[in-house]
This record gives sequence, structure tokens and C-alpha cells, in this order.
Amino acid sequence: MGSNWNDKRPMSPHLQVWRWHPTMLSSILHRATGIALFLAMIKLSIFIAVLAAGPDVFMKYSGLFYSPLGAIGFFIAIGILVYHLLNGIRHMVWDSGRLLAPKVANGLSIAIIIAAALIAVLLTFILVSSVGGA
Amino acid sequence: MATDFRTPMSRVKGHGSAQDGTHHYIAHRVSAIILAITVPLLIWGIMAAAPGGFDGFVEYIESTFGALTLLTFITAAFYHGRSGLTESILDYFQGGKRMALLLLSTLVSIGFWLLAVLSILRIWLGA
Repeated sequence: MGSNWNDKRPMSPHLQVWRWHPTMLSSILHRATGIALFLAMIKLSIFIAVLAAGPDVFMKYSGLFYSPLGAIGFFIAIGILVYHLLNGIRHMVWDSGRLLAPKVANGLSIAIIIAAALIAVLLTFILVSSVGGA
Repeated sequence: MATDFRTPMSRVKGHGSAQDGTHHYIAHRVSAIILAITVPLLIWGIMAAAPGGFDGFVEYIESTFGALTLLTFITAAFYHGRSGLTESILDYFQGGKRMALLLLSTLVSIGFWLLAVLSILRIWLGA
């Protein structure tokens, strides 16, 4: 798309005319999770800075980390991270020319979304039970 | 045999490849490989440290393995994240907005990378 685009006809590909399919969903999710992870990196940096500031500063915020809200935040962050990781590995397999057949690619897209959700549930369960038991 | 099919108009308008995508492509994947190794280590480290609260996290960063994992992860993640954001910004924005967002993503990446690295070193050296 040029900066002086004045053609009124629809451009292709654009979201309105495309039938949603799994690889399209996984592509959009990869971008969205990537941008979300950049924001998560800012939060992680602040978390480490709070740690470095010493126990007094940490205690002011640690109530939030160890609340149900903290567990929900961990679940969302870890789900996004695991999805982007698995799909990123798939992208590098794709770069080698493998797993590109439409049926395989679509099936893997769904499988990766489900796998990320399951791993996020499992890791959150392990974290909550280990923190609760401490 | 003709090898150049570009029209004079396309040349005037400056359309076509920028001729410098290869470095971006390879660097994005190299940082991805570093992240694929460090992310599982980091998830494991954070989950093992979390039950210990403040002491647990500090102990993790005080260990050389923890500090190295975190430093490598933070560096690769901000490099990879800025690289991916650049790709998205170039796809959706033009002109001044594009320049402003590219500059902002660079400054934010470097700023928070420095904050994280200095904080890790402060904890690690204080051990």
C-alpha cells in the first residue's frame, strides 16, 4: 500500500473478504501475541527492578503477585508465551519447506492453540498448588 | 534474454524490494532460537522461585545460572521483540507515524533492557 493510495476498489488480501481458516487465525494470533509479549517484557523488567529495589519495595507489590489476579495474569502471560513459542518453532520448520501442505498446516494451527491452552492450565495449576503449599 | 521486466513508471515511483531484508530475516530467527532455549529454562526457574517469594526470586538471580539465563533471555527478547514490532509497524503505518513508532519502539526496548540488565547485575553482584 503506497502512501498516496486513492484507489477506491477493495485491496486483496483484506479481512472482510477472506473466509476465516486456521492458518489465518494462527498468523494473526502470532502477531497479536508477539505485540502482547513485548508489553509483557516491559512488565518483567519492572518486576526485576522492583526485586533489585529490595524487600520493602517488593512487599508493597507482592500481595498482587500472590493474589488470584496474579494467578490469572500468570495464566494469560504463560498461555501467550507458550503459543508464540510453539508457533514460532513451527514457523522455523515452515522456513525449511516442511509441514506446508494445507491440511497439515491447518491441523497444526488448531493443535498448537489447544496445546498452548493445555500447557498454560497445567503450569498455572502447578504454580498455584506449589505457592499455596509453601 | 530480457532479465529486467520493470516498467519505467515503477522505477520512478520507487516500488519494489528494499534489497535489505535478509539481515532482518536471519537475525529474527537467530534470536528466536536463543529464546526457544531460554524460555523453557526461565519458566522453570520462575516457577521454582515463586513459592519462596522475595528470597526465592533473589536466590534465582543470585545464582550464576539464573542470572545468565535471565540476561540472555532479556537481551534476545528485546532484540526479537523490537525486530517483530518493526515488521508490524512497517506493515501498517506510513510517514511520520511510522517514524515516530519505530523510534518509540527502539527507545522503549533499549530503556527497559537497560533497566532489567542493571537490576539483574545489582542483585547478582550483591550476592
